[in-house]
Amino acid sequence: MTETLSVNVNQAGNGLAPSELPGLPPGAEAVIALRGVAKWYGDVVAVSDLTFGIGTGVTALLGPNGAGKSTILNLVSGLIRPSSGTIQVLDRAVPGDTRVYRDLGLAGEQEQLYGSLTGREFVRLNAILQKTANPDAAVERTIDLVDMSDAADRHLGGYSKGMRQRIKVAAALVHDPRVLLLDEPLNGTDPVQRASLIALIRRLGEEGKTVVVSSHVLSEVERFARNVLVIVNGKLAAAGDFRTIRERMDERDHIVRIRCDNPRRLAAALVVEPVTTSIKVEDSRLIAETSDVRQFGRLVPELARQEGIRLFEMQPVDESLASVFSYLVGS
Amino acid sequence: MAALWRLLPVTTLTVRQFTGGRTARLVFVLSLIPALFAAIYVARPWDVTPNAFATDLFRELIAPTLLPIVVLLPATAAFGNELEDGTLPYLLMKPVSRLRLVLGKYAAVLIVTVPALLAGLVVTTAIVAQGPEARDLGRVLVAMAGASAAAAVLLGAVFLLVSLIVPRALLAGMIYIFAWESLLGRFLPGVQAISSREYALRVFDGILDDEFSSASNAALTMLVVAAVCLLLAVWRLRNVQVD
Amino acid sequence: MSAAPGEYGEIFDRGYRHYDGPRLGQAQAIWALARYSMARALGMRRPWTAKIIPMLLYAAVAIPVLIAIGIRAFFPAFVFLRYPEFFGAIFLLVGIFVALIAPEMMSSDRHDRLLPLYFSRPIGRTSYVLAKLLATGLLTLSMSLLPAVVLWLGNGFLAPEPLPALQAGLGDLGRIVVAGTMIAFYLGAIGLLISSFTGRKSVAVGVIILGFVLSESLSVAILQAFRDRPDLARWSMVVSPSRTIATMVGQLFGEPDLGSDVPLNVALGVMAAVIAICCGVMFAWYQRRD
Repeated sequence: MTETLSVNVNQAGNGLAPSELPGLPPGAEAVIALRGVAKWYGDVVAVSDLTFGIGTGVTALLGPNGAGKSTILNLVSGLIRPSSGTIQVLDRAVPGDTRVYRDLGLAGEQEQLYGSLTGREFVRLNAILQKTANPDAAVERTIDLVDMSDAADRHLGGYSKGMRQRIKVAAALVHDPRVLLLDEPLNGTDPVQRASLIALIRRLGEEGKTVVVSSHVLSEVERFARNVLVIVNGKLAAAGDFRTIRERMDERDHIVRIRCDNPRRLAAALVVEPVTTSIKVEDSRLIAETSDVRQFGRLVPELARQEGIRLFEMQPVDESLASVFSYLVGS
Repeated sequence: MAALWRLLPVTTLTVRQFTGGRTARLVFVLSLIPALFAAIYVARPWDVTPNAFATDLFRELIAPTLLPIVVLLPATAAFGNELEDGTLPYLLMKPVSRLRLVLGKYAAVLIVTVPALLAGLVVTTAIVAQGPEARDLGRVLVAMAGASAAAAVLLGAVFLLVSLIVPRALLAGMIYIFAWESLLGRFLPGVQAISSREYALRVFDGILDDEFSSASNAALTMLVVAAVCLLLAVWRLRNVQVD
Repeated sequence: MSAAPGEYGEIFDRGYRHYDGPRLGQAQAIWALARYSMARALGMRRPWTAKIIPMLLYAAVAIPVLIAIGIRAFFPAFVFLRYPEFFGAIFLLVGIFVALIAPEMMSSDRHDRLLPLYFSRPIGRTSYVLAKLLATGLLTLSMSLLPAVVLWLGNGFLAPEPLPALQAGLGDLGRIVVAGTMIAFYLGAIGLLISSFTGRKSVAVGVIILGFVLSESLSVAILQAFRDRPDLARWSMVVSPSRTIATMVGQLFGEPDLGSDVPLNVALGVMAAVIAICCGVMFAWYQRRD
């Protein structure tokens, strides 16, 4: 199992065998491979040092807004050119030959669609441009798959956000691509639509397709993806099976800062606990190192209550892990 | 209808965008404006023969002003709308050659402009023919039609390309047509060589004066420039970054 | 992860802060919207490509003024550019400027679906239109009035005795202000009206420029058609903004040949009426919009 938590990608250069790419279990083929990819706009760096692979099944691109998830999807789609590095999809260079698009579909984040077309016409247009063998059948099948059969004859201009999301997914699926890229597909959908989209995504993954879904909400991603790529500030912060990542995060010692009204008493109570590896008291603050943050987090309020100590604040201090932490554990 | 989508998806899409929006309607209305002038002339004629009126109308109004705008509106919107709305990825992420995309859009531009222009010219000529001592208007009509078609072919291609390079291509195009071609063209004869209006008028005069070679030379030049612009547009589409 | 012992499940009123300060009125709302619209139309906070065309237009209008002042400096007797000529010359540039900013102000809001956002705030729909008109008018003043004022100042200070010259020229200044302001708001209102009908900036730009150019030709045609009835023919100016402006400027500066033979009050009245009609149509239209 690939065991990178924070990937130092200077090690990952060219000439890596596919299974050595971060994000892939050993032995797995990379359907999508990025090597040393960076994209900058003048002085602004959108993403940098990206080296990872994505295999079949569902992979989630996790990260806060502005982290670079959409940029990555646009790079993989060939809509933007990397400032450095290479991108390969199904062993073809991207951007490159347009034939790769037979096997690639993107449901992007842009809001606007062709307002004067109906949903059906829109999906059909995509099918025809994809040179699908039997466009009408494919169109009906996909529209049905996203539960848009009733609304397919209405004009796109009048669609609600959830309807737009679904018809975009239909358009991306109509040619039965091997690789499907979805940029925040659950945005704006109501719970029923969300459940059905999630079921669809899971099914596609089980059928052996490569589905990449970007999101900033872990709780929804948990339901269809085990593999995650965590992107923070344009860099890859973690890759692999997310439960493993979570355990690995827990395995590291964490530094926690506690403010309370009687730090010495609390320190005395904590120091005897095995989960605490070190303790330091500074003025009204306690700096503790712990090997198991979650257990520690349960322990401290309990001890405080027993000792009659009032807690004001408890915060992990390790910055680079904190952001990853908050995404993986959920708040 | 379904067959149109199958055979010419990009063109059908673009024509639908034009008719769904205001573009097609505007092109149609604008093409009829010369008829309005013709009607005023016929109602209360002034001191020129219908023939002279028609040629003046074409030289002073249609060729320098109306024709460019009628062509520029759809030409800049063909890709301009896609760029503005962010829908270009739907066309780019397909196994379709960029040449087909460019030609498809170009065809839509011509489909929307040329028939409207011709219809407008026919109506205008029909009205002018009601004026006193109208004769030989048929030749004028053919001259106007030929020049207009040539201008549409040229300007359509040029501004299809420009819209892929410059934002606000329509405004830039208008400034070029009005400020540059009109003002500087009068002062600096050299500018005439790169003025689209100049070539359109050469075609017009050539047909009118029965000098076929001068007309066909001008038309050929326009065609070549149009083809070059389309090829550049294909190249540009390959390199465009959409984000 | 802060928690007081035994008090789980508390909701902290952290993010939402009540505002108890002074609330400003419609006038401030209008001014705020106008300010923002002006900045946006000029391309501020946007890449350089959005700023080129305004810069070019300003340059185009500044150059004749600077040349005129320069020539005046060296040849005090030689008047290169008189005020009526100036106003006549800038019509095309101001027209293009309006075609640049009006769609940016009105059409963008429609295209980006900002109208529901605006109208769910206290700014009323009429205030919205007024704010846009204010913004367009003020911005266009920088084209139609400012250079003329600079020219006036230049003429004054370069005269052999500046202060008396300036004092004597106050009448001219007054005329310049009237002309420049009326031109700005008149063309601005027309441009805004056209822009309010479409969400596509390019369409609005095309119609505005075409409208200005074609209307001129139309009025010429009417003039020709009615040349035997000069009393009717002179009303052809109503149809054409450029001719209306030429009439107003001509009557204002005592050169009635520039435009139609129509008294100043009437010309001003026509312009004011057009502004009012444009606003009225926009009010009515935006009331029905959501």
